[in-house]
Amino acid sequence: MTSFTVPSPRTWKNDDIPDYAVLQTELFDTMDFLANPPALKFRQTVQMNCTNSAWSTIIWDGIELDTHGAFSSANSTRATPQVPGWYKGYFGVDLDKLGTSADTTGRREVQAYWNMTRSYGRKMAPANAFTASTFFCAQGLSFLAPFNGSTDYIQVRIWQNSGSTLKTLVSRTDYQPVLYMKWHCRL
Amino acid sequence: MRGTGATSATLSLSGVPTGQVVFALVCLSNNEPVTGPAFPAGWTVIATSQSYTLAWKVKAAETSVKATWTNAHQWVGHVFTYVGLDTTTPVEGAATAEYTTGSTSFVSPSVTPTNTNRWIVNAAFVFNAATRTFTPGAGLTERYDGTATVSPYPSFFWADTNAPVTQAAHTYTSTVSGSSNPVRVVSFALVPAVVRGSTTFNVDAQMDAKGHAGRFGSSTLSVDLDFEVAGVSMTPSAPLPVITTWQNGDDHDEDALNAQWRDPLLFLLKDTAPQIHAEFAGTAFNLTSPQAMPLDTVTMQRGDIYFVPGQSRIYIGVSGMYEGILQGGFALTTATTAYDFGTALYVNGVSRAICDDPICGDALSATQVFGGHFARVRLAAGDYVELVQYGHNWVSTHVKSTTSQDDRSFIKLWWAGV
Repeated sequence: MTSFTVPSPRTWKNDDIPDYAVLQTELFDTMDFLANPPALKFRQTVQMNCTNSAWSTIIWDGIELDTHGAFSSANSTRATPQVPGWYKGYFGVDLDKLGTSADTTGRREVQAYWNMTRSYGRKMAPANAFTASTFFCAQGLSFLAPFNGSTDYIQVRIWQNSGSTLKTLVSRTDYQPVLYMKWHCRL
Repeated sequence: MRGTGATSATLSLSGVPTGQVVFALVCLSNNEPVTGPAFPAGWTVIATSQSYTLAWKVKAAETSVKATWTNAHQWVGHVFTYVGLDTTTPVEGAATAEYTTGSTSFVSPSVTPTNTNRWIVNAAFVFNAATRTFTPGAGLTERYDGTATVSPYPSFFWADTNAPVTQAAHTYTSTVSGSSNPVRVVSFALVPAVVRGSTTFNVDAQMDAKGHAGRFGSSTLSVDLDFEVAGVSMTPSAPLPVITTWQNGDDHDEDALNAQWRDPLLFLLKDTAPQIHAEFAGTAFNLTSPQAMPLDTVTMQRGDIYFVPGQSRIYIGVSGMYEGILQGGFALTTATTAYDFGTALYVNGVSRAICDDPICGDALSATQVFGGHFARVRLAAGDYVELVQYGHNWVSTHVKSTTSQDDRSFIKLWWAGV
C-alpha cells in the first residue's frame, strides 16, 4: 500500500532561499493536501439481511469516492484510511418494514464501530412510533474518529429486535446505507 | 523572615504581582494568652491559634504586611503566592488539627476538594527548645521549612501536592525531626481561576531572600502547575492568522515567511486551530432537565479553547463558526413511556442547537444513547458552550448519566471557519 503523509509546514529562517522544489514541497503540496484531503464515500446498493437480535455489519459495494485507497474488496465492510489523522464523517442506514404492516416491536440501533472495539457514533430508537408507512431511518449521523493510517478501520453496523429478519433499504439512493469520511486533522 | 523578642513581624511582599493572591503566616515561640498574631484589615484568616496565624489577600499597593501580638516572642514568618488562583475564593475546605502528645508524626486534617483541578496545601507549626525540621508526607512537595534563630524556636513548614488531586478525602502523614507539643496542622485546597485560553497555571513560592535564598539558589521558586489531564497535549494559544497581500519590494524575512506561510498552514491543518474533545467519564449521577453535563476527561485540546475539568463550560478564545459532534447518554432505572430524551448545545446558558428530537423512552429499558449529532454554531471569543441533556416528565432518580466507553456523553468541538 502506498504510504501517505500529512504535510508539516516548515519554519523559515532568514538564510532560507526557497527555490522551486522547496516551494513545491512547502507550499503547493500542503495547499493541495488542504484542497484535496483524503476522503471517501461508500454506499450499499445490494440489499442485505439484518438478523433479529444480532449485529449486522454493512457491506459496501458502491464506491463513489476513495481518494487514498481506504477500500479493499477483501474487507468490504471496512473503511481503512491510509493517511493517519482524525477523520470526520457521517453515516446512515435505513431498514425496510416487515411487509406492509406496522413494525413496532423492539428497538433499532446503528453504530459507527471502530476496530471492532468501540463506538464513535450511535443512535438508538424504539420501534413503537413506526406505522405501516414508516420505517427506521437513521441518516446523517456524525462521528469524529482517529486512524493510524495503516490498520485502524471503521464499520457501520446495525442491531434490531423486531422479532424477524429485516432488510436494508437500497431502492432509492437517499435510503441506501452510506459512509462518508474526510481527513480532519493530524493525530 | 524571623525575629526575636518582638511583638510584631513585618513581612515583605516584594516580588508579589499586584492582583495576585498572596498567603502570609507568622509562627510564634510560645502561645499567646488567647489568640495568635493579628493581621491588618483586608487579610482573610484561613486558620489561627495561640501561636500562629495564616491569612490571604489579593495583593494591592501595599509593600509589606505587619502582624502584631501582645507578648514578646521569637517568630518566623513567610509569604507564598500562587499564580492563577481565583481571587475571590482561592481557598476551599480549610481544616485544622492539633497534636498534643509530643508526637513526631502527624496527619493533616482531611480535605475533600469539590473539583478535580484543586491542589492541596499542608502547613504545620511547632515551637520547641530545639530547632525542628519537617519531612513532608507522601504526595506532598515541600516549599519551605523555616525556623527562628533563638530558643525557644518556632518552626513551620509549607507543602503542597504540586498537582491537582482527585475529588476524594485527602490526608497526609508528615513528620517533624523531634518530639513537639503541640503540633498544629492546617490543610486546605487551592482554587484556580477559570482562565480562558490558558494552557498552564504557574505557582510561585516566594522565598525569603534574606533568610533562605541560599537554600534554593534563587529568590523565587517557580513550579509549573499543570491542570491538563494526563496524556493530553495542549498547544499554545493560536490566534486566527491574518493573511496579507504581498507587493513588490516586500522584505520577506523569516518573520514574514513564518507569519504568512507557515502559521496559516498550521492553522488550516488544525494543528493550532481551536479544538477540544471532552467527555464525562465519572460516576453516574441522577439527571435533571436541562442538565449541563460536567466534563471531566479531555482526549484532545488544541489552540485557544479551554475548560476546567469537572465543570460544564468550554470557553472560546477565537471567534468563528464552530462545528461539533455531541452525544448524550441516559440510563433508565425504570422504563416508561412518560419520559423522553434529547441533547442540545447551549451557548452562554441558552440553547442554540437541538441535536436530537426528543425520543420517547418506551421499549428502551436500559441505556439510551443518542450520539453522533452534528451541530454548527457561530461563537465569539469569550463565549462558553455546554453539552446539555434534557427531557420531559423525568423523575430524577429514574434517569441517570452513563459512563461506559460507548455510552458516555461527549462533545467534540472545532473551529471551522470565520
